[in-house]
This record gives sequence, structure tokens and C-alpha cells, in this order.
Amino acid sequence: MTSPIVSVRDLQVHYPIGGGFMKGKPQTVRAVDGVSFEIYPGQIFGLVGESGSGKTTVGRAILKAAPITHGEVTLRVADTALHVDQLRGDGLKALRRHAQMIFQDPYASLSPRMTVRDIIAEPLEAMKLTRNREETDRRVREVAEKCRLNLEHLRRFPHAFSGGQRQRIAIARALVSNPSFLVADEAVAALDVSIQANILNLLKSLQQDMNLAFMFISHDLSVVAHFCDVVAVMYLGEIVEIAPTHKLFSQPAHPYTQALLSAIPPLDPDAKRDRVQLSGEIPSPITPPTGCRFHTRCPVAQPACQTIKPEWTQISGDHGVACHLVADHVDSTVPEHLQEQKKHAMPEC
Amino acid sequence: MATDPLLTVSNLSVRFHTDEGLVTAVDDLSFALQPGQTLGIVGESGSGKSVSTKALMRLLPDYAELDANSHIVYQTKKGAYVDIARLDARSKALKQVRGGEIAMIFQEPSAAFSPLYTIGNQMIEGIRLHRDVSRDQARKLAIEMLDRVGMTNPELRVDQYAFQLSGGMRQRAMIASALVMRPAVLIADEPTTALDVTIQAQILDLLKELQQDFGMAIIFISHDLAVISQIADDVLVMYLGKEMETGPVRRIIRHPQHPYTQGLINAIPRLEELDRPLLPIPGDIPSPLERPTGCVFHTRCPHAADHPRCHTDVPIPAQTQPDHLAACHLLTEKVLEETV
Repeated sequence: MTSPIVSVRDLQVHYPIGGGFMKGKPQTVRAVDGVSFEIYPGQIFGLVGESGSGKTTVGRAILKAAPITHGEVTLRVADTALHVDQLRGDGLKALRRHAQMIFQDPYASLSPRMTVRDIIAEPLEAMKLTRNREETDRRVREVAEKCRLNLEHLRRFPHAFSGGQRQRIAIARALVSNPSFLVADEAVAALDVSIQANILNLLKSLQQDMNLAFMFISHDLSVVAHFCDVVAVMYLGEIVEIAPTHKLFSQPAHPYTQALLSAIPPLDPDAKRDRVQLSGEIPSPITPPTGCRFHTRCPVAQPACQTIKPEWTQISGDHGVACHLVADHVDSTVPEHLQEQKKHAMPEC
Repeated sequence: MATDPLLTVSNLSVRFHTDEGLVTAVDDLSFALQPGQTLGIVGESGSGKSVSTKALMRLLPDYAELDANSHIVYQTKKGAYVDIARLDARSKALKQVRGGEIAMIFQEPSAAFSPLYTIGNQMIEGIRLHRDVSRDQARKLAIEMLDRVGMTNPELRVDQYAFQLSGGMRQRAMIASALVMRPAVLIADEPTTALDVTIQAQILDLLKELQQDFGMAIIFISHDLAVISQIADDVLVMYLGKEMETGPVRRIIRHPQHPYTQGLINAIPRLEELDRPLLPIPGDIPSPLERPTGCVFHTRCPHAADHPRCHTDVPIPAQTQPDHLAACHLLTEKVLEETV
């Protein structure tokens, strides 16, 4: 296999909160707590989880938009490896050229005082990637066309556009420097369904044309299922399962993944589904539960889960999970837990 | 259904006076709500789903104008009929309707609760507006209700502020404060949109359970047809302030008649059909200032190019089945052909 474009090793992002004069000891929010994965060129890597799971922070840390407390993040472009965790100054500029971001809210991410042309051209000018204005304009027009923007719109201001059009402008800005890796953080969450499909199809065709690698962060599992090649599930700052999309959705191994999938409402009200009920809500990342962090809500938790942290287990070559129950059974020929859970898995997948 | 409807909305139109001109938010909307029924209203942004339900409680801002032909006839718990559209804005009758007869829960519970008062304080205020009880009795009612909606430690929660609760708990608190007056109609405006899927499932289950217990009717607004399908008996599909299609939920989802509903269903990513490509509805939602003539959906409709009528005439909702209505020229033409 080719070498990964992004490799993340034991990434931790901790934020200190509170503390100070007469406020007692500062506490630490463990937003991301030891996450490892790899993304390959041309791959769409999905990152899902509930709010507070740390998925956005992982995306930001890869672009060094969040402080990396510990761990290694490496971006490989054109035979050079950028050690993101150590980058500063000009090194960061090189990273920005190759790795870009698309945000959730196109109403907040575009300056109302700049024309669409200036918004798209800004990365080129900031990174001095073009020699003169003509070249900049040519590049802006090229990328605008690729993103199916009307060239006459380049002179207008963002307020004149709808949500879908604005998101296309944001995509054009992210692509203008010709990056090879994009982080899309909830890029379609703010859009209406009829527009969302449009943007997803656009992203997919751009991804294929430009051989982009994507990290696609979303809370919407149906969107992720349609768009991503590989999916990682996060819970409270940790990755609990990684698998190719089809495998994850047809044979989820971690009880959390199973619960998450079973909570998605099917379109047809009569569709059969065995709900794995989750009680309670995600605990605080300041004082995460001991042992397996999911044990407080896990429907199949064992006494060991409360004290011993589950090890990462590779069920098959491309399917990994962190759960004691899976690890116990992975050596036997038929994993009993998996077999039983298969019945609970998504209906009619 | 043979019973008298609880709420009959007819020819509801709402316009907003804005700096750019008059904007039509809801256009000639009619529907009825039966006792105990759950009506789902689905639509994208700008479809008028929120505005139309806010109009039911007369909660529209000052620059909104309710059309003179609009009627919102509501049967009160005592059996009297009132036209909410005709009530004086400061009348006692309207105050009784708000909260006492029709209650509302919102998408953002953190915005619906005041940060300066405890949950209990705000619930007690509401209870004493509608019922002649002492503070202590009201507090007891509030605690009972918090317990009923599945809040742990209700005696403790009643003295907490909204910001001390998690998103799911806040939504439970809002449901409690809406239901403590035992309304006959609950309007739920995207109540699960801000929540995670696991919490969303909990809240939907809770609403269904409470509806059974209290026998209330629910108007459930959402942009997500899958969420609507979990809770609604009937669905009203809206686009740019107009009714596109109304019918029983299973028929709408399995046999949508209107091209807009069909487009919407094709655009939804579904776990059951991972390999099916997503089909977007072409084009963008038009700006409310540039409202299309004729059928409001004609600018994005795949059939409109062949039918000049769609560009000029407004289609009127017509029956395709006894309880299934759709506003589309193609369908009325088809029905006409079949009857001839």
C-alpha cells in the first residue's frame, strides 16, 4: 500500500481551565486523549461522534489550529514529511498550502466586506502563490468554475448568496491553493437536505478530479455512510472503532457504535430495528470514567470494564476496535459477542 | 375522522414588512388537527413551517401581518370555539390559549429559559398564571412534572438554572414546563435538532409516551423527514410558505405524489441504501424576495419545463386519495383525465 498522507500517533489535546488566584487548582479538559490513525491519498476518512467527543478538536489539531499537547502528526506531500506538531512560522505556511479546511457555517466563515473574488483569492495572496494579478484572477476563475460558481458572481458580496452557494464559495477558497488534504468540519450540517446532496456530490467529484484526501467530520451518520471510505468513531476523546464504511455499518463491533447506529431514525416508520438504548449522556471530559470510558452507559458492561482500559484489537486487517468483550472473543473462531450483536445490527443493511 | 377537529386553520397567510419590501412567509395554508393526533410539518429553511405555527399562538413579531382572511378556529377545553386570528392581542382569552391550551417547545432550550431564574421559578410563574394555586403547590406540581419527564433528582433540579443542565436535560425541563399546564395541543418546533442522535431517540420516545398519557395533539416541526416519520400520524410538506402535499405518513414516504416531496426523499441519505447515489433537487431555494410566480416549486421542478401552466397558475391542493392532498398541476390533470 502507498504511504499515508496523514499519520496521527497518540495525539492528545488538553486544555487547562479554571485555576488562578484563590480559585484553587486548575483542571484539565482532556478533549482528545490518545488518538492514532492514518489517512491515505485520495481517501475520505470520516470522523463521527456525539458533541463533546473531540472530533472537531482532532480536525483542528491536524491543521495545527488547536494546540497539540502530546503526540505526532505527520503530513506527507510531494515526498516531504511535515511534522505538524513541531511546525512554526514559515513551516506552518507550507502546511496551510497543502492542507485546508471547510467550516460548518458558510454564513460565518465568509467576510461580508469582501467580494467573492477577493475571498477566493486571499489564500493565494497571503501565501504569495501567484506572481501577478492576472495569474491570481485566472486561478480564481478556474477554481470557481470547478466549484460550479457563476463567474458573474465573483464581483458580488456573500450576502447575495444562499447557503448552498456560500458553501461552494468556501470550498473554492479551500481549493485555490491546490491542497492535497482537506478537513471538512460539518461542512453540510447547516444546509437543507435538497442542497446538502448537491454539495456532497460536488465534494466527491472534486475529490476524484484532484485526488484529494479528506477528513470528513460529522455528527450525521447517514451522510458519513454515503460519503466516506473509512469511518472512525470517537467517544470522549478516544477512538473506539475504525473500519471501512460498509463493515462499520453492517457489522459494528463496539457497543457504542451499535447504539449510535441503532439510534438513527429510519425513513420508513415501520422499518424493523432493535434499538440499543443508551441511558444518560456523555460524561465530562474533565473527569472521564476510569477503565473503558463508555462503561457508564454501556448496555453490556462487565466488572472489568470499570477498571481496565480496553486495548486496541484488530478484528481483521482493516477493522479495529477498543472493547474488552471483542478482545476476549477475537481468538475464538466465532466471536460470540459479534454473532449475537449481528442480530442487533442495522436492519436491512 | 368523524370527530370535530381541535384546530382548523384556513387560508392562513403571513407577510413580513421588511426594508426590502413585503415578504410572503406563509401563503394560503389550510390544515386541521384532530384531538390526540400528531401532525408533522416538514420543510426546508424558508418554508414557513415555524412562522405558521407561531401564528397559531399569535407569537409573531410586530412587523408581521396576518392576512384578514386567515382563520384559526380552536376548540377550547371547555368546548367553546375561538378564532385565534381574531382575538385581541392583549385579551385574556389569548393569554389563556397561550400556554394553557396550546403550549410550545423550541429547538434551543438554552434560549427559551431565562438564565437569571431557576427552572423551578420559571415553571412556577407559568403554573400560577394559569391556575389558582399557592407557590408551594405550584412547586410541588413542577417537581412532579420534572420527575414525569425523566429528570433525575427533580427536587434538586427544580432549583437549578438552565445552564447547569446538559442539552438533553434542558429539553426535558422545557417539555416539563410546557406540559405542566396540561395543554390540549403541543407545538414542538425542531425539539431534537440540536441534540445528538442518542439523545434525540430518548426525547422522541418521551414525547410519544407523554402524548399517550395526556392525550394531547402534537404539531411536530422538523426539517428531517426521518424524525417526523418516527412520531407523526400525518405529514404536511411545505415549500416557500405553501402546502405542497398532506397525507398519512406512510403514504407520503412510500408513495409521494408531489415532485417536491419526491425530490426531498431522493435527496435524503439512507442507511438502507448505501450504494444509491444521492439525487439533489437542482438549483437553490429562491430568495423570499424573488418569489416564483405560478407554482412556487416550478424553478426547481423537473416537470415544469413541459408544462407552461406551472409558470403562471398557482396549483390548488387536490385529493389524490381521500386523505391525501397534493398541490400540483400534473396531478390534477391526471385526476381529470382519469375521471373523464
